[in-house]
Amino acid sequence: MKKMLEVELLKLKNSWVLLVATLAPGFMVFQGVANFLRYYELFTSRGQNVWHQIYLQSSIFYVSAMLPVLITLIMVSIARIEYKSGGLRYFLTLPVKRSGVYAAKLIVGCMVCLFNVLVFSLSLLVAGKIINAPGSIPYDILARPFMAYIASLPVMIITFLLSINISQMAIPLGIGIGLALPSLLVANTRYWVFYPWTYPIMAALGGDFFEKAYFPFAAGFLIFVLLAFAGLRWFMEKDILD
Amino acid sequence: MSELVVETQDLTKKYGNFTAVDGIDLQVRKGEIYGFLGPNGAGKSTTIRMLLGLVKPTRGDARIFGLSIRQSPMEILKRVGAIVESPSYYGNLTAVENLEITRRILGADKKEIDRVLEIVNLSQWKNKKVKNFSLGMKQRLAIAQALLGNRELLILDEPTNGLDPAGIHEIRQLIKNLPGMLGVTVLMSSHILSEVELTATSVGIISRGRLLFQGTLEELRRKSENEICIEAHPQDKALKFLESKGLKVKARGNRLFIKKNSLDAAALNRALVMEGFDVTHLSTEGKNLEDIFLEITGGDAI
Ligand SMILES: Nc1ncnc2c1ncn2[C@@H]1O[C@H](COP(=O)(O)OP(=O)(O)OP(=O)(O)O)[C@@H](O)[C@H]1O
Ligand SMILES: [Mg+2]
Repeated sequence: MKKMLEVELLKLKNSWVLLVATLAPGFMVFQGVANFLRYYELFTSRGQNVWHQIYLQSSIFYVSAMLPVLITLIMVSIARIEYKSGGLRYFLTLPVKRSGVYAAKLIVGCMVCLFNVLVFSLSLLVAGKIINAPGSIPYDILARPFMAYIASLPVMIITFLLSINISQMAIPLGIGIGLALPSLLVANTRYWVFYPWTYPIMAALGGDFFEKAYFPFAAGFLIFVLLAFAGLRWFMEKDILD
Repeated sequence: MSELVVETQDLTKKYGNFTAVDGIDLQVRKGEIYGFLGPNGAGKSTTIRMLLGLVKPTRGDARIFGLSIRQSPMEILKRVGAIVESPSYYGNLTAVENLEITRRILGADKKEIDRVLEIVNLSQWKNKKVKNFSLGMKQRLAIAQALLGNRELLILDEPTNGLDPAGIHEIRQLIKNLPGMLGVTVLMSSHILSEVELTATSVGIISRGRLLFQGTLEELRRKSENEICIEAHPQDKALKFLESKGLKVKARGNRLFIKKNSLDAAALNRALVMEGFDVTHLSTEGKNLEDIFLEITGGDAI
């Protein structure tokens, strides 16, 4: 398995996706902090915690739009490498197990997504230090993005399965981004439980007291496991025709 | 009888109602270059994908090195180098990095990369990104990948497709030398008869999913035994007369063709004249392979 993961990482070399996954969250925090500084008076008039304000300003757009879009981009480009010029049909003629290829690709995809979330947390920390936010660092603002990551597992597996099974990247790209766009709207309705794209929003911004606080994690994890196994069986049986 | 490296039984692939490969029994012997010849859409790539485990057969089985591809794909694929529907590569990586992927999976020696680059003449480009390669260079890289790790069988799907004449010549020459140089067996598909004639030692002819001929190039050539070609008037009566003598006669245009076998052309002429026919032309003709191919495939263009 280690060998398979190394090979999958090697395939990503020179790919722009790692760069985007690194820069985008940093940019998001920069935006959030800029916004916060512009309306500094407003955001601190009631004595709110500066750290929390930075977090809120940065994460609303990040978890509702940027994170799911980035996840889609990451998953699509991991699959794209295989379909662009026949890589997969060559690679699978090597003595590799299809289950191993599938697992390695999924793990690498999820790891790049995790990396992207860690960059976001780190950027928050750095930004807070730079603007000299008073008080000690509230560590929940670092834990929250990670919780949003866990809640994003369904988005990851859905976009992964679409990408790896459909050789025209426009389709998974369109579906992934299309479903991400209305997530903030749906999150404000009671139907959000049926819409996994809202789970990271609930996890990151839902507060401690909303009903079913456990739900995005429990459902998210369950959906991920079920779809991952179903997708694995499908991938192992499927004819490679591209 | 030498050892069979590839053997398929009733290998069949259906896409819905359409039968792309229809019960074919391939036999590739050790050390030969087997030319898998067929017009576009004949089912060559589909067969090759089944041999390599990319596509599941609807029916039948394929055995390579005596092992079933369904049961022991890993053992087989370790020893098989392949090109499927030419160029397949990772464009964002260099030639060396592409080969490194193959090397790591096979657990082959580091030196292998330089060895195979040398064989296909790509050493000077080895650190260039493959997406900037010409088609010929990509094709050579594909062959290098297939050779890495001393594989015993090479399955090459149209390895010269899309190359310019110089590239075609170079690749054919390379393939031709492989069995002697490295002791490998080669199964190579092509839709060009002359290519198979120039490189292969055995031929399988496939058309519309069916294997129509299989044997050595010699056996194929033997099919080109001479025919006697006759122009006699009135033609229909002459045809009936010859058939009444127990001969197999085919009329094409205004000429009649009879398999020569041990027939004596002079005696035939005499018989026709004695019977009162006007014989205006009589010749013996050899068919070329192109004709045979067209005959076998029922006139499918190549
Ligand atoms: N996924 C598919 N679904 C339906 N039909 C298919 C599919 N793939 C191939 N075919 C059909 O199967 C037949 C055989 O295709 P195949 O690619 O094996 O031919 P080929 O001999 O390799 O031809 P070429 O010389 O053009 O490469 C073709 O008629 C093709 O249209
Ligand atoms: Mg083909």
